[in-house]
Parts: sequence; C-alpha cells; structure tokens
Amino acid sequence: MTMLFALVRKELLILARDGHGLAVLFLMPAVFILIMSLALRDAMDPSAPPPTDYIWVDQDGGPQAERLAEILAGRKNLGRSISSPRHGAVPAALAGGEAHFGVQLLPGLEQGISAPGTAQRPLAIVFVAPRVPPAVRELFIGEMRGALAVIRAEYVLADELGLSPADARLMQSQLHPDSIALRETLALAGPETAPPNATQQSVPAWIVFAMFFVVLPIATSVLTERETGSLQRLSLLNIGPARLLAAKVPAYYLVNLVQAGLMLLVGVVLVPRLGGQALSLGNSPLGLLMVASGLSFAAIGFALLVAVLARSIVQATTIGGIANLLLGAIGGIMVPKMVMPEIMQTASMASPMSWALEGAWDILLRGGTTLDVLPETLALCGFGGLCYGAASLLFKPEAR
Amino acid sequence: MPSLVEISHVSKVYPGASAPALDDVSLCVEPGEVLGLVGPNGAGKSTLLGILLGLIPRDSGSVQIAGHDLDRERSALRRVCGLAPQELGFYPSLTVTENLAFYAGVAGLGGELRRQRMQFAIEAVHLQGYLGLRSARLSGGLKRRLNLALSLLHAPRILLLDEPTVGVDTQSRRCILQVIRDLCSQGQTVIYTSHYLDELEQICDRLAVIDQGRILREGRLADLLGEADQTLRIGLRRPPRDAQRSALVNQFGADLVFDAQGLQLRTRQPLEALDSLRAQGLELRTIQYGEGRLEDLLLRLSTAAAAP
Repeated sequence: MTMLFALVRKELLILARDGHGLAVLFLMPAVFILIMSLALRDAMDPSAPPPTDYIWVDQDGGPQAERLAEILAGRKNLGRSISSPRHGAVPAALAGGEAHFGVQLLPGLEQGISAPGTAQRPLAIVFVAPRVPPAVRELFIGEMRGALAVIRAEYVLADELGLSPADARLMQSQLHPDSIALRETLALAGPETAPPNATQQSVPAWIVFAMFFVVLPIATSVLTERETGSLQRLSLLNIGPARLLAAKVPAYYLVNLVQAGLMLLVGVVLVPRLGGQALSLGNSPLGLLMVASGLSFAAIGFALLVAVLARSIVQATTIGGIANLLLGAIGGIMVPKMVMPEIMQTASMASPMSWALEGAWDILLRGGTTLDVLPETLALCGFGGLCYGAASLLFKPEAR
Repeated sequence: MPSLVEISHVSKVYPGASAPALDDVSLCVEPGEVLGLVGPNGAGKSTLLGILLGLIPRDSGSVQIAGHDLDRERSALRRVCGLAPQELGFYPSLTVTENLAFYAGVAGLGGELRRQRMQFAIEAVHLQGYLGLRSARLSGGLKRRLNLALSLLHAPRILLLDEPTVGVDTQSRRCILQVIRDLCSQGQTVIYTSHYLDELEQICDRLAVIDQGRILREGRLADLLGEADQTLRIGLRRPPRDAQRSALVNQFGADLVFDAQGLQLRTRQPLEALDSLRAQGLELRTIQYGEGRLEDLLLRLSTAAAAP
C-alpha cells in the first residue's frame, strides 16, 4: 500500500508541477469547445435560416413575376434576395460567395402558368453554388416549385372559377400546406428540459474527443520515465508492470474529470454570453459522472496501451493522435452517425467514442438517467480494462 | 567465507551480432570488496551489470548474489542490489526530498525506518543543503550525488555503480569519489565501472579488465600496477621496418606492442631487452622503465586482445 501510495502521489506531484502542461490539458479543450459551439451555432437552430440567399434576375417583368418574388420573399426557409439586372453575372457571383442560389426568371411566365402542360421550355433557371449541401438544394427547389404552384393555383381560381384576385388569394391560402397545423415534439426518455441546440449536440462529441487526447501526456510520461532510467530503477525495486501502469490512472482520471467539468462549464456559462445557445446538463448529474468516468477509464487504458507499444515519444504522439482521429471518424464525432451509410453506422459501434457519445446524449439530449447510461458506462470500463490488461502484459519496464 | 557475487561461465550473444557481448565470463566479488570493471566502450561492462541485475537475459552460465540464484530468486536478488545507473533515474520536477521519499516509498520503507534511511542517504552524499531544490536545478555533480543516494535507500548489500562520475567537473568528481570511499570504509561491497582509470586506481581493491566480452586480466590492483611497472617504453627516431618488426615479434611475442611513439615491452630484464632492440638496428630516442600506470596495462591488454 505504501508502494502504491508513493507511485500515485508521485504522478500527482509531477502533474501539479507542470503548469504549462496543465494549462494545455485544461484550457485547450475548453477553448476548442467554445469555438466549435459558436461555429456550429446555427446548424441545429430551427429559427436560423439555412444558407439560401439568392440572386433574382427577372427577365419576364410581368405581374406574375412580381407575385412570385413576393411569395419567395415571404418564405421563412429562404434567405435574402439580391436583385440583379444581368443573368450572365450570376455564376460569377455564386462562385464569389455572394449568394447560394441564382434564379433567372425567363420571359413568358404568364403563358407558362396558364398552360403548364404545353410549355416546351422551363419557366426559370435555378443556379446552385457548388458548396451548397444537397438537402439545402432540395429545400430551395421545393420552395421554388411551391411558389410556382401557388401562382398556378391563384391563376386557376381566378381564371377558371371566376374568383376575384383577392378571393383567389384567400382561397389559395386556405389550401396551402402551411395552413394545416402540426405539433412537433421531442422524443425524450425523461421530462423535457429544453429543446436540443447546437451546443447540446456538439459539446458531448467534442468532450469525448478531447478526453481521449489524454494519450499524449500519458505516453510522454511513460516514455520519459523509460528514457531517464526511472523505470529501470523502479523495476529493480520489484515494482511490477501492472502496478506501475495502475498508478497513473488516478492522476489522469482527475485530469479527465476536470477537463470534462471545464468543457461543460464553458457550454453552460461562456457560450451563451458570447451569443451561442446555452448547454443544458439534463436531469442526472450522477449519470453524467458515470459516463465521464467510463470515458476516462477507456481513454486512459487506451493511452497506456499506446505508451507501451510505442518506441519513442514522437511515435506515441503520432500513433495516439492518428488513432484518436480514426476512432472519432468512425465513432460519429466528426460526421454524425445518422448521415452515415448503414455499413458505417454498424462500424461505428466498434468505437468506444461512439459508446461514450451515446451515453452523453442519453443524459444531455434524451433526458436519460443512470440506468440508461449503465450499458455504455460498463462497455467503456470494459474497454479500458482490456487495454490496461494488454498493456500490463506487454509492458517491460526494465527494457531500454 | 563464500563470495558475495559469483558469476560462472556467463555468455551472451545479442541477436544479429557477429561477436559475443560476453564470452565465458567468470568473476567473484568478496564481501566488503570494491571491484573495478574496466574496458573500452562496447567491452561488455554494461551487459555484465545488466545480467547481474536480471535486466538482460544471458545465454548460458549462472549468477548467484548473496546466496540467491538469479533464475530462481530474482526478486530477492534485486533487493540486495542497488544500482546507480549511467542515466539519472529520478524525476527532475520533484525536489531532492520528494525524489528520496518517493523511492523510499516504492522500496516499501515506511515510518521511522524510511526517515532513517533517507537521512543516511542524504548525509552519505552530503545533500543536506539542497533538499528543497527541484532536481532539475541541481548541478551535474549534485545530480550524480542524488543518483547515488537513491541507490542507497534500501540498504543494498552490493552497490553497482555504472560510470557514476561521467560528465561532472573535477570538484564534484572528487566529492563523489570521497563519498564512495567513505561507503567502502563502512564495509559496503561495490562493483564500479568507469572510463576514468585514475578513479579505479584510487578506490578499487581489485580490477577486472574486460574487452570484446572476455575478462583479459583480473587481480588485485597492486599486482596489476606492478605488472604495468615492468613495462619498457621506447621512443624511436624512425618507425621500424617490416623485417625489424617481424624479428622483434618473433623474439618477444605478446609482450611487445608497437605504438605511435615507438613500442612498449613487458619484461623483467630491461637491459637485455635494450640490447636486443639495438641489435635489430633500431635508433632509440627515449627510454623509460617502471612507474607504470593502469592506462599502459589496459592499452597493452586491449591491443593484444585485438590482434589476430
């Protein structure tokens, strides 16, 4: 017990003495969370318009064209409209990032509306900027088709049923899909707290990612001890590899918990003060602690294995960094699992980062409790234990 | 009394190496004795220390320390050994006291015993004035002294010092040697490796000259220095011709070594030897006999070992 206490105390002392190292360990992830939360602020905000600014080139000039522009301007899913007299300038403007779409309304709109089936040429040309995501493009095209359908409906009501233009608009508005009420609600395991926002979605992912980077200080610590001969001296005192590695766990577990706490604090306090949405911590602090603990054990176990396998600090930091990127890519940290193909979604189950992310979302997004996160916590602890076991078997502290 | 360390017919070949690192090495160290291991880089000194501590596996032979067999009782054997490695095996960000307390703790020392052993180690290497200083801020000499102190904490019966003065200034070196002398005077058994032959002359009772994995000469320091005293050093006006070389080698065999200045000849009859050299037509510039140093002996042994 004296032996283990001395080993743990030494790790804590060395960490406490390394002010610069601690600043990097604690501040970098917190700054990272802040930047990512603010950068993705609008990504999950239903009130924020998607990137759908468009250049409007009216070559028709008739009343139907004016009405179409009026309808599009009233759509909340669309961004601002920029009028332009020349359609030739649209591709260059889109390439220059002035707008996301361009609409060139061709002459003869009324004729096309009155006899849609006989029209041989399009009513309008829609230009799409290359970087616009497919979902946003579909949204814009849908809005365009919807607006043209409104014009067509108003034409039919006025021309074929003989209604006055005002009555035709009234009738059309009552037939419009927007007039049908729907209630949207969140599927939560527990009582609803707040609707999930960008901070809520992104903070857990980046906490998971950041905590796995404990591989860098742990590998550096083990390999420096090897290079300085400390490990050799310790092994001559009959300290076994399992005990040497186990002594590193408490110190870095504390580091991981402080990291997670700081990152959550940034989400709760700092992000909203800088214009982002505040992070809600859910209803189960104990559940959150369970997930963070499991995640920490998994990350530390993985870090010990990397430290034991690597032959130098450069090798360890390279292997550790790249392995983290791969685990993050597979585990849905960088690309949400829901947009992955099925085979990749299945593959993501192999990444402990995915388990940790699901656990964090159970608490932060789905209103879950300790019981909900128990499977993920156990899986993470098991992964950490397996890595630790393998590291203990492979570790030769006396080797130079 | 049985030897404290018994090394019998130990051999070691590293994978991929063309020559053995150790070739049928046998050595004994008696209680209270200071054995110096001397030899050039790559001679096999560190391999021998590694094998003694069970850090490097050997191919054949046996090792016993204080009655413990290396293969059967490695843990017990390590408990009786203290190593001061060439590298400074401590933590630079911890203070001197914290490093000592840490290693005392992992050695299983607690309470009053720990305090006593720490106090002994601190006083033995004269670190009293530096206890609160972070180890990174110690001078090279003080770091070496801390390195030595750490190896004393668990009261080892045998101390293995691997180049303990490497890279320190003259004053610190003198201090460290005095510390080791003091320990030896208290009956501490020591195996000491160094490139500094004057150190070995100062503190060792016995020397083992090792090169190319073989023990070339082993004996009491006085005997080896006496052997070095029988060396005739001749400076020549011009290098000997091939025919002269062959004739001299035929006459004196392994006792003769040519060097940059001329030659060295181990002989008990220096006057007869000088006559023989002159008879071969060599023009002698300087002649020196006796007052031999360990360096001469080492050079001669190593040169002879390297000869085909």
